[in-house]
Amino acid sequence: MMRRTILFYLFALLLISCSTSIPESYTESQELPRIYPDVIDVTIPCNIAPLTFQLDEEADGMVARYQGNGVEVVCKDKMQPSMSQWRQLTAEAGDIDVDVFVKHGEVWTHHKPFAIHVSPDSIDPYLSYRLIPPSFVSYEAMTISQRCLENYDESVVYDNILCGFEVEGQCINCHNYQQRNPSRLQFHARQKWGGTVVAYDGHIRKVNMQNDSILSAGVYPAWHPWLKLIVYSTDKTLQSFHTTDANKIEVYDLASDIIAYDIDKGEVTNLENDTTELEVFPAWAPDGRTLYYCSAHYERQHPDKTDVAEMVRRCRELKYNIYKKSFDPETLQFGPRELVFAADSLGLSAALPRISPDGRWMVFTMAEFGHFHIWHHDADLWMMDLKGSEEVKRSEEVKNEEVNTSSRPMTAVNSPDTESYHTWSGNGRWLVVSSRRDDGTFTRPFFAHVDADGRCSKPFELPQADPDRHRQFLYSYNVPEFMQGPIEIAPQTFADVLKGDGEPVKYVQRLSK
Amino acid sequence: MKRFLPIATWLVALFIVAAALLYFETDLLWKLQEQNLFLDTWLFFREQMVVPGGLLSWAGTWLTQFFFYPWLGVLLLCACWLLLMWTVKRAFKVADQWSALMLVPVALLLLTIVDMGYWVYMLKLAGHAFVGTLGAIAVAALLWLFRVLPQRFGLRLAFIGVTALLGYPLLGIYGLAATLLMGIYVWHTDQSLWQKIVGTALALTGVVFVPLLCYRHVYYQTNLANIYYARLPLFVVSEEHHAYYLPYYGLALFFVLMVAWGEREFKGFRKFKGAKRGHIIVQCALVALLAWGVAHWWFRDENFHHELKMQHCIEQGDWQGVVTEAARQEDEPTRAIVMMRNLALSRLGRQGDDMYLFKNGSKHYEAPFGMRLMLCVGPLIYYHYGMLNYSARLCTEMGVEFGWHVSNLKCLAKCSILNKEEMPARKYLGLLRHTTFYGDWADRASEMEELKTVQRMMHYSNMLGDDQGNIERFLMNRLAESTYRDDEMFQEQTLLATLWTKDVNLFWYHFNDYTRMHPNARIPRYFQEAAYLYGKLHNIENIDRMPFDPSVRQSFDSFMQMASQYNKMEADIVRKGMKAFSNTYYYDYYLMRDLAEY
Repeated sequence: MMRRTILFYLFALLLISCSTSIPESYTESQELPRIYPDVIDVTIPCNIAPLTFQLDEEADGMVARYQGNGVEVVCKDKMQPSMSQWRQLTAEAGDIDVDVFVKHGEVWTHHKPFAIHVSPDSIDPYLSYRLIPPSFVSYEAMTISQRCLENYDESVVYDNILCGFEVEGQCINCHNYQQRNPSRLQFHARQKWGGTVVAYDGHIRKVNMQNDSILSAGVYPAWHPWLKLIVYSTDKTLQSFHTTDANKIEVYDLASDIIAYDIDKGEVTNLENDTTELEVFPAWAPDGRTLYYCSAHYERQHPDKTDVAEMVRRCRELKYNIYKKSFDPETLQFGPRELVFAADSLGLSAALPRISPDGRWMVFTMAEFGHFHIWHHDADLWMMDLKGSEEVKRSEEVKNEEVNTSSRPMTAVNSPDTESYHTWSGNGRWLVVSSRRDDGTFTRPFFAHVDADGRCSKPFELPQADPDRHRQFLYSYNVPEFMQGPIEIAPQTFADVLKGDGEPVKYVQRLSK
Repeated sequence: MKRFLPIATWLVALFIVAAALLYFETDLLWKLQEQNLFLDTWLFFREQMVVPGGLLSWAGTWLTQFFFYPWLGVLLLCACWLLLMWTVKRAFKVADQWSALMLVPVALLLLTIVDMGYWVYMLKLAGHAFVGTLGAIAVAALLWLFRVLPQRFGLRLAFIGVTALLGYPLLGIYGLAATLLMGIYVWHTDQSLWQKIVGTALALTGVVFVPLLCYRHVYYQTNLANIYYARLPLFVVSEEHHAYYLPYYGLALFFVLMVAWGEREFKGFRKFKGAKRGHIIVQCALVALLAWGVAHWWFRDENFHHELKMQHCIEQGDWQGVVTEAARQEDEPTRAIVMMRNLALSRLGRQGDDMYLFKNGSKHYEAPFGMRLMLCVGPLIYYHYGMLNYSARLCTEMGVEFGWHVSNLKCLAKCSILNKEEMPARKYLGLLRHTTFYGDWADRASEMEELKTVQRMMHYSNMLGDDQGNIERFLMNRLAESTYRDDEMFQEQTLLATLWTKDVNLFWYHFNDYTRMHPNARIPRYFQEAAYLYGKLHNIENIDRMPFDPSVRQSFDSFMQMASQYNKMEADIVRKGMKAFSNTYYYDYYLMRDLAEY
């Protein structure tokens, strides 16, 4: 009831605020307006929530106009079109022409017009993410939330306070889905009532993945596209803090492996556990026959030092490359590892490989060293043409450098600040990217269009009813994942499951059908 | 004239309370608003409303911000208490002769503020100072409404249901309390027996099931264990500290007794012979008891108040004020006090000559939980020592753990400005512009003189590590290891840090730099004492020919002579015996080692 009342008043407010008219007299300017969020020349899906913006400079007033499909929307102070107006504007693919008039004193200036390009390619209707303050140790306020991308509705999937607080607090992370299916999901809870929650078509269970034969419980997950199989990295993770460096923190693994978990049988097995390799971030190819992951070669050189002290000293040496393993869905057997992208040959380190649904493009994050690039200001997204790469490989005996020739930074998507976690939409035409371009500290999801040839458009920020919201919001959006629809399981149900005992896993040498 | 008696009694009592708060607790009141945040945004309102009773917190944070001007905050608090007394009097139809009885909830609510002590740094209940008062007013007002409702159409029964359904989401535990009290009060009404039974059953059902219903279907940010305590402060760190709930138990008892007593009994007392004198005596005794109780449970720890005063002075850039406060120290100080005092002395250019003239030590914080320097002044100390990454990190961690406060945002803004992180600075300053009193601060933040001084301390070399919560040790070690020598202030701090770390080699390294950088200046006393001590300890040739102040050698000789009498004795005994030398570095070097780190 309360929600409806609020929506009513919001709607009324929007009607009032968008019933203004453009100034009668003004001077022309060839400069684009300074607005926030930046929606200038962005490409948007036809089903996205209304794009709002506000002026990003001191002024005495602003009037903005959206025009498209024979519809005109004029708002003052903040551009906040109503849902129905927006639906008319985006009813057909094409451009929404935008005019911004800014008032200084008594003088109005009409800035250089720009367009918002409406793509016929739709986007998955839901996005889930973890909302977490940009802290390093504390986790008293943390939720996994979901947002309808077609409007502004946001709801909580799970809040860590439901299970405990203070010294009995709980950290939650790594929500992940099988093919963006909201009824097939998993996430981890750490510390009090810790375990991995796995929900599969209405059956929810808590799994205790700790086992003496594996390095740790599962960490970074990758659901097989159709099998009830999740591959995880297992990580002994630590963090250290910079006294003066702008990156503030380094998160690194002292050891890490790759394991596979059979959901039905409750079995785990090691896939990669070379002690001189740090393997992390598994990701399946959409055909379910190839597993990608990152790995850095690391050997102890100073046995006189503790492993932590040595790692702290040498963490800049960690250069992760991208590898792959073949997989037979019939026998559940994996092949040997093959190099896919040698980031170290470029003096860089690659993380988070994600393969497009058509299997052609691999997008990954690159920075100078390490794998936890969200805390690296130099982190950028790169894209590799897997088809091109295969052709290069087939043509001749190749060196590492040549494997990399079909890779390039995604300059249209990247910003001067951090770009890190990213996921493909179901149709492969959209990429959601975690970026800190707004302020260098708080992560926000941005969406970029990617066409069939891998060309990217300028990304736009997750739309908000109040364009100032992200300026006021003290949480980061962590691990944005597309979903085909909303998660229907109540947060309290997850809490009830977590408060129970976790099902133990059984270690096997090999998975079998 | 008689009808003004209640209000006159209350006003006199409130005047005394206000005067006491303003005289004894100005710094606590300042801290309360620094540990508070109210933003005039829709997002802030929504964020408060995601927990039961969020409206109380929202209103509480709005009122708490007025402690920016302590007199204004106190005025509002007293106005609320006046309203509470008036509402309670109306709700229970208390006769004028019993006006002093209304002081009971006020005294209890006053205690929730003045007995909190170190919880001021830890308490997570937004708007705590006002939440109890507003909740109590709401309870009394709802009971009053309940009482004056006509008996027709089952209105009272409906009102119990509505109070349970709406009271809990809006007022948390206070909504439940009002419902429960109505369930008792209904027995004083002229309802029929079955209506009374239904009323009580309805109230009990509402109190038990509405929170459960809300837990399942409305809220997701309340732990099941705490759903019945919504908007009560939780005095929990690793364990529950029940003593701090006593004022709340008292408040509950007061309301239960008032409801159970009913109005008839108040009237009945008048029938007794000598009732007039009797109720005056009873009320005087009650006031005396309340005054004694408040005085007894008022948290008067010396160090706690010194810490608050020093933080307040530092915030105002009043370094002399910090030193003046340090001079008033009688008890063994906490390390927070020692660090703030040394910081002030360094800003005044007196640390090398004066820092051992004050009391030294490492007293534990008078808190029932493991209070640490980090929680008390961690971000402030890191900031003023120029280690901004750590200051910003602590601000963020504490913002997450205890809620975002004005103090976090101010500190984060200053760190961002100094780190030339324009966009984060803009974000924090933008948020502060949404507060009532810190917009001006935000407007002039980037021109603050203080930033120039802190900038002179930003010469650490980068290192990956962790302070493990031991701020003083971490800072002193980083300073002592620093080799930057282009700023006199920073270089002096590196030398001072070696006095703390007692690392002889690093001392000589920095001492040589210091003497080169100040060729014709007098060497501060404690640098001389350290040089002379280390020279003697390591048999440096010609140490006696160096130009030390004569008193440095004299005090060293005297110290050593007396120390020989305490050979192999317990450190505490030696400290007491050699107290006369506590103003020397020798004393610090030998007797102030291995202090407990809180």
